[in-house]
Amino acid sequence: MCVMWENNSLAKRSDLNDLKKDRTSIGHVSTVFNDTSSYKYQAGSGGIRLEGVSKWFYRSQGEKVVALSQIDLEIPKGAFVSLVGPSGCGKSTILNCIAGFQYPDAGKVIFEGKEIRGLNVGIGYMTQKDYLLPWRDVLDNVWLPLQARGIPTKEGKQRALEYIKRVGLEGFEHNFPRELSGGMLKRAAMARTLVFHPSTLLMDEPFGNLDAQLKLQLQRELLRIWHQEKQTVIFVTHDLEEAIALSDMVVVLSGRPSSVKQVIHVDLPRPRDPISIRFEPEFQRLHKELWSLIDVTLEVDHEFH
Amino acid sequence: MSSTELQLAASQRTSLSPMEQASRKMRMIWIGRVLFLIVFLLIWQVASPYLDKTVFSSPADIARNLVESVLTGSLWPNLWTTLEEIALGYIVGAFAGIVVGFILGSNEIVAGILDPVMIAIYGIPKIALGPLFVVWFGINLMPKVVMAAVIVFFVVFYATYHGVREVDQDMLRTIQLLGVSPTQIRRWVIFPSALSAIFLGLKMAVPEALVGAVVGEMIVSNKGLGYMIQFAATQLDTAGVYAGLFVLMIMALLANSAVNQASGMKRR
Repeated sequence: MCVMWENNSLAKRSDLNDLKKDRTSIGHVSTVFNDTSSYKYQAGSGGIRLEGVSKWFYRSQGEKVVALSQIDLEIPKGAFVSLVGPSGCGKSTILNCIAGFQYPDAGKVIFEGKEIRGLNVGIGYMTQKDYLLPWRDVLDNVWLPLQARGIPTKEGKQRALEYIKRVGLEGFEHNFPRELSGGMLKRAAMARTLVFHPSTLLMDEPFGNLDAQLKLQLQRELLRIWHQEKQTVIFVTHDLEEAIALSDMVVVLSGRPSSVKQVIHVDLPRPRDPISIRFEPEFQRLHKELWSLIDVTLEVDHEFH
Repeated sequence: MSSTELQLAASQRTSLSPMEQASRKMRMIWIGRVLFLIVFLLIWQVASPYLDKTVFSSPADIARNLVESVLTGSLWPNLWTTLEEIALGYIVGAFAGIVVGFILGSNEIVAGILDPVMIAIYGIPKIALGPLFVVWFGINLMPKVVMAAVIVFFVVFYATYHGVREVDQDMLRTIQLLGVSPTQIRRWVIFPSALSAIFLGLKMAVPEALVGAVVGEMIVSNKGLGYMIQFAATQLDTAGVYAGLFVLMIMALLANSAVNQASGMKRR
């Protein structure tokens, strides 16, 4: 089984190289895909580094509000990293800084060795809103990134179909977004994000509003794809169990002004099943540890009010 | 409608499907329209002997005038001329409006530079440009086409401009991250999302084209419906004026239903 996966993903990789030749302007899609035989990520360069990133804004009364304060964070290439913390602590802001939607007011974001200035084109960003094009059906929405890269239509649609199948949307290829449920929209957006093999995935509470069952199903799907393609994933969530089940690292952020409170390494075996992993003692221990960290944050928050 | 009929209608209504109810409502509306027209014309006709003929004319005189102009064939060249002006003016104005609206909508700096110019020209009553168009383009078809085109242009331009401006910027950034180039975004995202606004502008511009052409004809011309009306008025031929207006009204109605048909097709 495992070997089959790998063969499969090797084939993907040569696809990807073709893809890159087609369009050089994609930008940061890196050529590095390390070591398919191990699920462990590689420490060191090639990942994402936040160096003293601060972000502030001014209220209408002129009062300065610090959203992010001196965030230092090293995200190794190929790692699955979750960001957790109280709401409004700037988790989305961090993703926006990596995507180049926003710029830090101080410090910098280094992405695969280069400081980010401008849109980080070619990164996969699953925002809270799906932003599917309402006048395209699911297939054409998922096909969009491939169409943009000038991949032959037949081949591109083939690949789009494959990803639609992977996220479990088979049979809905020709439905328009307005005909889909919230969960289906998320899946379509996920397929569109994955279909062009981005080396890095930013996911902003991608499974936030889904029912528990669907959430587990999509977590499983995401892990399956990640095991094959080994993207660097930065995953924002409120759900601590989700964070542990999926991640190599869980970054706990404090409330505003937000900074890195602690980084927890999750040493659960891979490949994982996000459902059965919950019953491991190590999972329970990590869960408890995380809760205690968040609890303290809540208490601190309380004192402020 | 008698009270028994009304009762019958009420009792039937409960057993009708929504679609049948809708078609029933539509039929009522159409019957009402025709009745309204007949009653209006009847009152006019009956009252006309007691009214000043040069002011009010009468439906019978207007009808006679129309039939005469159809039989002698004097209506057709005028109608044709006006239609030609409308069509040409509409096409040119609408095309220019979409193109310029799209460019200014997607380029904030160019839009900022041209904004005062646009507002200044938009603010002029277009009829004031008439004499200038005559000087520039003579007295034939051209000045009327230009007049219609200018009026249509502004309607379509503003609709397109706002349509393009209202595209969700977060959506554009997200789509761009997927590797879609700015040119592709214009074609695949901005244009389709502005399309409903553009269609609204195109729809609103149809009667405006009519206005432009007829106003142009009224300034200087020797052909067209505007000319026909103007000429009849100088002859104190009030029935002729009303006949011309009647033809214009029919044209406006036909154009409107054609546009509705087209936008209905788009939605399907």
